[in-house]
Amino acid sequence: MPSNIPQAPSNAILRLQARRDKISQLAANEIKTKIESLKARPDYKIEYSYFLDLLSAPLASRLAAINKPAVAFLCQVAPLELIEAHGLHPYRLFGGHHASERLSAPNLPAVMCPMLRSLLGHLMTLDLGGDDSFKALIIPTMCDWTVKFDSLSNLCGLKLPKVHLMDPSRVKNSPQAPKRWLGETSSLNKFLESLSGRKIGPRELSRAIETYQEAYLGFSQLIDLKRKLRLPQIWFSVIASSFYLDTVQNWTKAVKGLLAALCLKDKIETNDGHNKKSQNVFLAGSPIFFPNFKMLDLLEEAGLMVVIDDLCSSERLLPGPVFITDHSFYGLLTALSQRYHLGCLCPTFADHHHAVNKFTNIFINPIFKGIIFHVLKGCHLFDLKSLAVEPNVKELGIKFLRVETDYAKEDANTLLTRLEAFGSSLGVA
Amino acid sequence: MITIGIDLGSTAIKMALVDNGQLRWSGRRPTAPGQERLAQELIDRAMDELNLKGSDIEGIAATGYGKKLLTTANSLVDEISANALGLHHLSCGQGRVIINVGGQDLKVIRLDADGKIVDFRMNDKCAAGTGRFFEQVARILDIEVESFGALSDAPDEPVELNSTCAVFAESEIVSLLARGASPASVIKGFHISLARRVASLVGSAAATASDFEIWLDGGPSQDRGFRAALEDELMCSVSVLKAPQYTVAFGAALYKALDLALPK
Repeated sequence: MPSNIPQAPSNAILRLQARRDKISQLAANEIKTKIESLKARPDYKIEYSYFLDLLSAPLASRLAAINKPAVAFLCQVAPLELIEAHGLHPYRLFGGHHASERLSAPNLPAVMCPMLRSLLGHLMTLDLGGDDSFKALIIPTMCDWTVKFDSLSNLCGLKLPKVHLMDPSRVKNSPQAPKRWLGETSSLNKFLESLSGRKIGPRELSRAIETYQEAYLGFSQLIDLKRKLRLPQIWFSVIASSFYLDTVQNWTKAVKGLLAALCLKDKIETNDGHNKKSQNVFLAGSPIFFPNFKMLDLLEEAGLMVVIDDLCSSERLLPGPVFITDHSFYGLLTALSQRYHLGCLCPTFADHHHAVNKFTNIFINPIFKGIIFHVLKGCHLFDLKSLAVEPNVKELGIKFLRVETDYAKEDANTLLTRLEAFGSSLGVA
Repeated sequence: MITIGIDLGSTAIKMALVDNGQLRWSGRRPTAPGQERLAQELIDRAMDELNLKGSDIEGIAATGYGKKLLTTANSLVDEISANALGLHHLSCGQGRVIINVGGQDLKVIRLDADGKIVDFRMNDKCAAGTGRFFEQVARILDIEVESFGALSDAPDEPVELNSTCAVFAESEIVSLLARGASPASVIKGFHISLARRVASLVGSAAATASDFEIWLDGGPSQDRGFRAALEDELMCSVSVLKAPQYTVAFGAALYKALDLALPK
């Protein structure tokens, strides 16, 4: 048979395609159900609709609407400003669908990070190689799962776009660490040059830094409202989850609109977060991504109010202001690298005492009464961090609850029992 | 002051009627569809037997997985807090560690001298070590759960049960029976296997425990063979209340009474 005659797809391929379509539909339903439940909340405001619309739109169409080539990345270590300065759109890959795990799970280790398992399943439904959604993928080697992401993708039959590995120092406070972070940032810059086909100078980088400073300003005001119990964690997480789904300028504009609405409506209220009757907690640990808000829903159901978190999917989304003393390109790159290095609270670091100290220091702040430490099953780094943190905070008389879970809902009842009991043990009404 | 505590658990609905801190009536029935109706029938039965009117009841607190189903309850309390309060009171303040074997979960609760919860642990998504596991073993052996204690008195040597997973344990028990193991030796092996699992949740708390500090409650705690295996594993004495299946419901009723006594 001549080889140029198209072959009919085999039954196996058709079955695989049908399974992908089915999982895609289930994942879309997860989003739809979550969005509907969010819109039905009594505290829903029309200003949230922008963020919900971003989250409900198919990823390919969202990225197409941005009208810039997208560069995906896995962890908050790749400087967003640098990607932006190259005229590219930074998009953080994450998996929040429980349904998507069903597609990838047969190809993957039984015990692994559910977030990445979900992400791999989600990528399997996107047919990455076909529509060229991402120009490249940046993988910071922060945990074993991300180090092996390329191999895991192969196991799932995925063809990844160009991959750039970032290998920053996993010893945070060594004398060599800043140099290694700067080296990795410079190397990323070269990689981005190869993608965009042009070199950038201090003007482009400075402009990108300013754009993100503006976004951070709005974001930090949202954090402030959360501290004052005027913005529930669930809405904060919606806003954070939508960050990569539009241009940073549009997102910042929508945040400003929301801030104006929240501040106007609550102008007469002077709640400063010191509500003696609410059970304010600090949420720490593994990230929580849309639409898997199981933990956030249960926390609310148990009457626990998250006023502070240190999740890289939430308050740690943006590392904060970049301190610039030298306006040359090298100076800007150094400042950017330092900001991401120092701002990173990932438990990957060997010298994790800085993270433990941060926990104990933060308890000078009296607006919360206990810590909920969320560990995703298979997320060994946060599991270890929880073990390191627990005795330290308990020594200070601070209540601490470690909750290990995954994306399935079958443990919701037992989790709720624990959260409710934890709330009672905080000794508040 | 008369208050009622209803524990809507996964396998049984338990009720305790408390009059000025004393248990006056308790009753239970298996969980089935229509939990609110079943709970109401328990309340009606108690009031009938004690000759009480509706106005005599000052409050009802619901607890357990189905607590939100009981619309007549005017307070909800989580089962860990209810368990802690109930046992602290019933053990006359001596209890420091509670091992609660529920229908579908296993809890270990640590208390301070004032009965406040210091810490608690629960099993994850797993039936091993729960009341369901007892029922499963009873089904395989075709005997009643209530007969486990008597069977464990037999002189038979315990079998070695390697599976801590309820599903794998089932096939292991079937295979042991096929090879001629007696039900008594299986029950003894089951008790030892379960005691090891519970001991891992209790952790170091047992090492320094004095008498009457560690308490076992929940329905399966009436199985004296399990209690003995647990004492052997923890290497300390384990106390059991007279009616350990009602501790949580009793705690809920007490919670309601304390709540009503607070100045509003």
